[in-house]
Amino acid sequence: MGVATYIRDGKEIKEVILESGISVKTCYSPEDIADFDYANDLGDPGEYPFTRGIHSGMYRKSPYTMRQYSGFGTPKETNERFKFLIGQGQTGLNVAFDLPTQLGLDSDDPLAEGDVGRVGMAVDSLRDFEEAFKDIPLDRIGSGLTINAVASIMLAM
Amino acid sequence: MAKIIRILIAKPGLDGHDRGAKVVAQALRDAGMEVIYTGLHQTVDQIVNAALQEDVDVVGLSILSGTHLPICEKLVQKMNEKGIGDKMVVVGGVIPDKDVPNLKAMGIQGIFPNGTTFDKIINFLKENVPTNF
Repeated sequence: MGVATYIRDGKEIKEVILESGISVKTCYSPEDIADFDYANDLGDPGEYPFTRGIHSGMYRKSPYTMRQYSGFGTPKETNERFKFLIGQGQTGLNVAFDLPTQLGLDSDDPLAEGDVGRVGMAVDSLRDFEEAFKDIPLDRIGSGLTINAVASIMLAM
Repeated sequence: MAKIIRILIAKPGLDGHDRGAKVVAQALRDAGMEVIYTGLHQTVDQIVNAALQEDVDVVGLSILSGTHLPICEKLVQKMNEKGIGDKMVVVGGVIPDKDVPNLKAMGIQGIFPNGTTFDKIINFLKENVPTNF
Protein backbone atom coordinates (compact mmCIF):
# COMPACT_ATOMS: atom_id res chain seq x y z
CA MET A 1 0.00 0.00 0.00
CA GLY A 2 1.26 3.45 -0.90
CA VAL A 3 0.61 6.82 0.68
CA ALA A 4 -2.96 6.90 -0.61
CA THR A 5 -5.33 4.67 -2.59
CA TYR A 6 -7.01 6.25 -5.62
CA ILE A 7 -10.41 4.89 -6.63
CA ARG A 8 -10.98 5.70 -10.29
CA ASP A 9 -13.84 5.59 -12.74
CA GLY A 10 -11.99 5.38 -16.04
CA LYS A 11 -9.53 8.27 -15.92
CA GLU A 12 -11.46 10.24 -13.33
CA ILE A 13 -10.52 10.02 -9.65
CA LYS A 14 -13.68 9.33 -7.63
CA GLU A 15 -12.25 8.98 -4.17
CA VAL A 16 -8.95 9.04 -2.35
CA ILE A 17 -8.35 6.92 0.75
CA LEU A 18 -5.40 8.13 2.80
CA GLU A 19 -2.92 5.74 4.40
CA SER A 20 -4.73 6.30 7.72
CA GLY A 21 -7.95 4.90 6.20
CA ILE A 22 -9.71 8.28 6.01
CA SER A 23 -11.66 8.79 2.81
CA VAL A 24 -11.14 12.16 1.12
CA LYS A 25 -13.32 13.58 -1.60
CA THR A 26 -11.74 15.25 -4.59
CA CYS A 27 -13.73 18.47 -4.02
CA TYR A 28 -15.64 19.96 -1.10
CA SER A 29 -18.48 22.55 -1.01
CA PRO A 30 -20.63 24.32 1.67
CA GLU A 31 -22.93 21.27 1.62
CA ASP A 32 -20.21 19.23 3.24
CA ILE A 33 -20.25 21.45 6.33
CA ALA A 34 -24.00 21.92 6.64
CA ASP A 35 -23.86 20.56 10.22
CA PHE A 36 -20.75 22.57 11.08
CA ASP A 37 -20.61 23.74 14.71
CA TYR A 38 -17.95 26.43 15.12
CA ALA A 39 -17.31 25.86 18.84
CA ASN A 40 -17.01 22.09 18.53
CA ASP A 41 -15.52 21.67 15.07
CA LEU A 42 -13.07 24.56 14.83
CA GLY A 43 -12.92 26.91 17.80
CA ASP A 44 -10.75 29.99 18.42
CA PRO A 45 -6.98 29.71 18.28
CA GLY A 46 -5.71 28.43 21.62
CA GLU A 47 -9.15 27.00 22.54
CA TYR A 48 -10.81 23.57 22.29
CA PRO A 49 -10.54 21.56 20.01
CA PHE A 50 -7.22 23.34 19.26
CA THR A 51 -7.64 23.01 15.50
CA ARG A 52 -5.86 26.33 15.14
CA GLY A 53 -3.02 25.70 17.56
CA ILE A 54 -2.54 25.33 21.30
CA HIS A 55 -1.72 29.03 21.90
CA SER A 56 -3.83 32.03 20.86
CA GLY A 57 -0.98 33.80 19.10
CA MET A 58 1.08 30.76 18.09
CA TYR A 59 4.24 31.63 16.12
CA ARG A 60 3.12 35.23 15.44
CA LYS A 61 3.47 35.86 19.17
CA SER A 62 6.75 34.04 19.73
CA PRO A 63 8.77 31.88 17.37
CA TYR A 64 9.43 28.21 18.06
CA THR A 65 12.45 27.28 20.18
CA MET A 66 15.57 26.73 18.11
CA ARG A 67 17.62 23.92 19.62
CA GLN A 68 20.14 22.26 17.35
CA TYR A 69 21.22 18.77 18.48
CA SER A 70 24.70 19.32 19.84
CA GLY A 71 27.30 17.84 22.16
CA PHE A 72 30.66 16.20 21.51
CA GLY A 73 33.71 14.96 23.39
CA THR A 74 33.99 16.19 26.95
CA PRO A 75 31.46 18.27 28.90
CA LYS A 76 33.91 21.19 28.66
CA GLU A 77 33.98 21.01 24.85
CA THR A 78 30.20 20.67 24.84
CA ASN A 79 29.87 23.74 27.09
CA GLU A 80 31.94 25.75 24.60
CA ARG A 81 29.68 24.60 21.77
CA PHE A 82 26.52 25.45 23.75
CA LYS A 83 27.82 28.98 24.36
CA PHE A 84 28.70 29.39 20.68
CA LEU A 85 25.21 28.27 19.59
CA ILE A 86 23.45 30.52 22.11
CA GLY A 87 25.68 33.37 20.90
CA GLN A 88 24.41 32.67 17.37
CA GLY A 89 20.82 33.19 18.52
CA GLN A 90 19.78 29.69 19.49
CA THR A 91 16.98 29.79 22.10
CA GLY A 92 17.24 26.28 23.56
CA LEU A 93 19.60 23.31 23.82
CA ASN A 94 19.23 19.71 22.68
CA VAL A 95 21.97 17.68 24.30
CA ALA A 96 23.71 14.89 22.39
CA PHE A 97 25.21 12.11 24.52
CA ASP A 98 27.75 9.50 23.52
CA LEU A 99 26.60 5.88 23.13
CA PRO A 100 28.05 4.57 26.43
CA THR A 101 26.07 7.27 28.27
CA GLN A 102 22.95 6.45 26.27
CA LEU A 103 23.28 2.80 27.27
CA GLY A 104 24.12 3.49 30.91
CA LEU A 105 27.79 2.47 30.71
CA ASP A 106 30.65 4.30 32.42
CA SER A 107 33.36 5.75 30.19
CA ASP A 108 35.88 3.23 31.55
CA ASP A 109 33.67 0.21 30.83
CA PRO A 110 35.47 -2.20 28.43
CA LEU A 111 32.41 -2.13 26.14
CA ALA A 112 32.72 1.65 25.82
CA GLU A 113 36.19 1.56 24.27
CA GLY A 114 36.36 3.79 21.22
CA ASP A 115 32.86 5.17 21.69
CA VAL A 116 33.59 7.65 24.52
CA GLY A 117 32.84 11.22 23.45
CA ARG A 118 31.74 10.14 19.97
CA VAL A 119 28.39 11.30 18.57
CA GLY A 120 27.76 13.21 21.81
CA MET A 121 29.24 14.08 25.17
CA ALA A 122 30.25 11.59 27.85
CA VAL A 123 28.46 11.84 31.20
CA ASP A 124 29.55 9.72 34.16
CA SER A 125 28.58 11.90 37.12
CA LEU A 126 26.80 15.08 38.16
CA ARG A 127 30.06 16.99 37.81
CA ASP A 128 29.96 16.39 34.04
CA PHE A 129 26.52 18.01 33.90
CA GLU A 130 27.66 20.95 36.01
CA GLU A 131 30.54 21.52 33.62
CA ALA A 132 28.41 21.18 30.49
CA PHE A 133 25.89 23.75 31.76
CA LYS A 134 28.37 26.11 33.41
CA ASP A 135 27.29 29.77 32.89
CA ILE A 136 24.33 28.77 30.69
CA PRO A 137 21.31 31.01 31.57
CA LEU A 138 18.89 28.19 32.42
CA ASP A 139 16.15 30.72 33.30
CA ARG A 140 15.70 31.50 29.60
CA ILE A 141 17.40 28.60 27.77
CA GLY A 142 15.40 25.38 27.89
CA SER A 143 17.15 22.02 27.57
CA GLY A 144 16.14 18.79 25.94
CA LEU A 145 18.18 15.67 26.69
CA THR A 146 18.24 13.17 23.83
CA ILE A 147 19.00 10.22 26.07
CA ASN A 148 16.19 7.67 25.69
CA ALA A 149 16.12 4.93 28.32
CA VAL A 150 18.51 6.36 30.91
CA ALA A 151 16.83 9.80 31.15
CA SER A 152 15.49 9.03 34.63
CA ILE A 153 18.99 8.11 35.86
CA MET A 154 20.32 11.37 34.44
CA LEU A 155 17.64 13.33 36.28
CA ALA A 156 18.34 11.43 39.50
CA MET A 157 21.94 12.71 39.40
CA MET B 1 37.47 -26.37 -7.47
CA ALA B 2 37.17 -22.80 -6.25
CA LYS B 3 36.07 -22.56 -2.64
CA ILE B 4 33.04 -20.48 -1.72
CA ILE B 5 34.05 -17.23 0.05
CA ARG B 6 33.14 -17.28 3.73
CA ILE B 7 32.71 -13.85 5.34
CA LEU B 8 31.92 -12.63 8.84
CA ILE B 9 29.91 -9.40 8.90
CA ALA B 10 30.48 -7.80 12.29
CA LYS B 11 28.97 -4.83 14.06
CA PRO B 12 31.50 -3.62 16.66
CA GLY B 13 30.87 -0.98 19.32
CA LEU B 14 27.69 0.41 20.76
CA ASP B 15 26.04 1.89 17.67
CA GLY B 16 22.74 0.23 16.81
CA HIS B 17 22.43 1.21 13.15
CA ASP B 18 22.64 -2.23 11.55
CA ARG B 19 20.57 -1.78 8.38
CA GLY B 20 23.73 -1.36 6.31
CA ALA B 21 25.35 -4.48 7.75
CA LYS B 22 22.19 -6.49 7.09
CA VAL B 23 21.64 -5.38 3.50
CA VAL B 24 25.30 -5.99 2.68
CA ALA B 25 25.09 -9.44 4.32
CA GLN B 26 22.09 -10.25 2.16
CA ALA B 27 23.73 -8.95 -1.02
CA LEU B 28 26.85 -11.07 -0.40
CA ARG B 29 24.71 -14.13 0.31
CA ASP B 30 22.78 -13.52 -2.93
CA ALA B 31 26.15 -13.27 -4.71
CA GLY B 32 26.91 -16.83 -3.59
CA MET B 33 29.02 -16.25 -0.50
CA GLU B 34 28.59 -17.83 2.92
CA VAL B 35 27.80 -15.00 5.32
CA ILE B 36 27.79 -15.03 9.11
CA TYR B 37 26.38 -11.94 10.88
CA THR B 38 27.43 -11.30 14.49
CA GLY B 39 24.53 -9.10 15.58
CA LEU B 40 24.88 -5.83 17.48
CA HIS B 41 27.25 -4.56 20.17
CA GLN B 42 30.20 -6.89 19.61
CA THR B 43 33.56 -6.39 21.27
CA VAL B 44 36.72 -6.89 19.22
CA ASP B 45 37.42 -10.09 21.20
CA GLN B 46 33.99 -11.48 20.34
CA ILE B 47 34.52 -10.69 16.65
CA VAL B 48 37.97 -12.31 16.55
CA ASN B 49 36.56 -15.37 18.32
CA ALA B 50 33.70 -15.64 15.84
CA ALA B 51 36.13 -15.29 12.91
CA LEU B 52 38.28 -18.05 14.37
CA GLN B 53 35.44 -20.43 15.16
CA GLU B 54 33.62 -19.86 11.87
CA ASP B 55 36.87 -20.22 9.91
CA VAL B 56 36.08 -17.28 7.66
CA ASP B 57 38.20 -15.89 4.83
CA VAL B 58 37.15 -12.29 5.38
CA VAL B 59 36.07 -10.13 8.34
CA GLY B 60 33.83 -7.25 7.27
CA LEU B 61 33.16 -4.52 9.82
CA SER B 62 30.23 -2.11 9.70
CA ILE B 63 31.02 1.09 11.63
CA LEU B 64 28.93 4.24 11.54
CA SER B 65 29.81 5.87 14.84
CA GLY B 66 33.25 7.32 14.08
CA THR B 67 35.09 4.63 16.04
CA HIS B 68 36.62 2.94 12.98
CA LEU B 69 40.24 3.90 13.70
CA PRO B 70 40.62 2.50 17.26
CA ILE B 71 38.42 -0.52 16.50
CA CYS B 72 40.23 -1.48 13.27
CA GLU B 73 43.61 -1.08 14.94
CA LYS B 74 42.63 -3.32 17.84
CA LEU B 75 40.99 -5.89 15.57
CA VAL B 76 44.08 -6.28 13.38
CA GLN B 77 46.28 -6.61 16.47
CA LYS B 78 44.03 -9.24 18.07
CA MET B 79 43.73 -11.19 14.82
CA ASN B 80 47.52 -11.32 14.64
CA GLU B 81 47.71 -12.50 18.25
CA LYS B 82 45.23 -15.30 17.53
CA GLY B 83 47.10 -16.41 14.43
CA ILE B 84 44.53 -15.30 11.85
CA GLY B 85 46.37 -12.17 10.76
CA ASP B 86 46.44 -13.52 7.20
CA LYS B 87 42.67 -13.18 6.83
CA MET B 88 41.33 -10.22 4.88
CA VAL B 89 39.70 -7.35 6.79
CA VAL B 90 37.36 -4.87 5.12
CA VAL B 91 35.30 -2.03 6.62
CA GLY B 92 32.20 -0.14 5.52
CA GLY B 93 30.11 2.66 6.94
CA VAL B 94 30.70 6.32 7.71
CA ILE B 95 34.39 6.53 6.85
CA PRO B 96 35.79 9.99 6.05
CA ASP B 97 38.22 10.15 3.09
CA LYS B 98 41.00 11.46 5.32
CA ASP B 99 41.00 8.23 7.36
CA VAL B 100 41.41 5.92 4.35
CA PRO B 101 45.27 6.08 4.25
CA ASN B 102 45.42 5.33 8.01
CA LEU B 103 43.13 2.32 7.62
CA LYS B 104 45.12 1.04 4.63
CA ALA B 105 48.33 1.39 6.66
CA MET B 106 46.79 -0.75 9.42
CA GLY B 107 46.18 -3.49 6.89
CA ILE B 108 42.49 -2.92 6.15
CA GLN B 109 42.32 -4.03 2.52
CA GLY B 110 38.85 -2.91 1.43
CA ILE B 111 37.22 0.35 2.54
CA PHE B 112 33.63 0.99 1.51
CA PRO B 113 32.21 4.36 2.57
CA ASN B 114 28.66 5.68 2.12
CA GLY B 115 27.27 5.23 -1.37
CA THR B 116 29.34 2.15 -2.26
CA THR B 117 27.42 -0.16 -4.59
CA PHE B 118 26.93 -3.86 -3.83
CA ASP B 119 28.67 -4.68 -7.12
CA LYS B 120 31.78 -2.84 -6.00
CA ILE B 121 31.98 -4.82 -2.74
CA ILE B 122 31.17 -8.15 -4.40
CA ASN B 123 33.70 -7.64 -7.20
CA PHE B 124 36.39 -6.56 -4.74
CA LEU B 125 35.92 -9.71 -2.65
CA LYS B 126 35.77 -12.03 -5.67
CA GLU B 127 38.95 -10.52 -7.11
CA ASN B 128 40.96 -10.25 -3.92
CA VAL B 129 40.04 -13.16 -1.65
CA PRO B 130 42.29 -16.12 -2.50
CA THR B 131 40.01 -18.96 -3.61
CA ASN B 132 42.56 -21.70 -4.41
CA PHE B 133 42.87 -23.02 -0.86
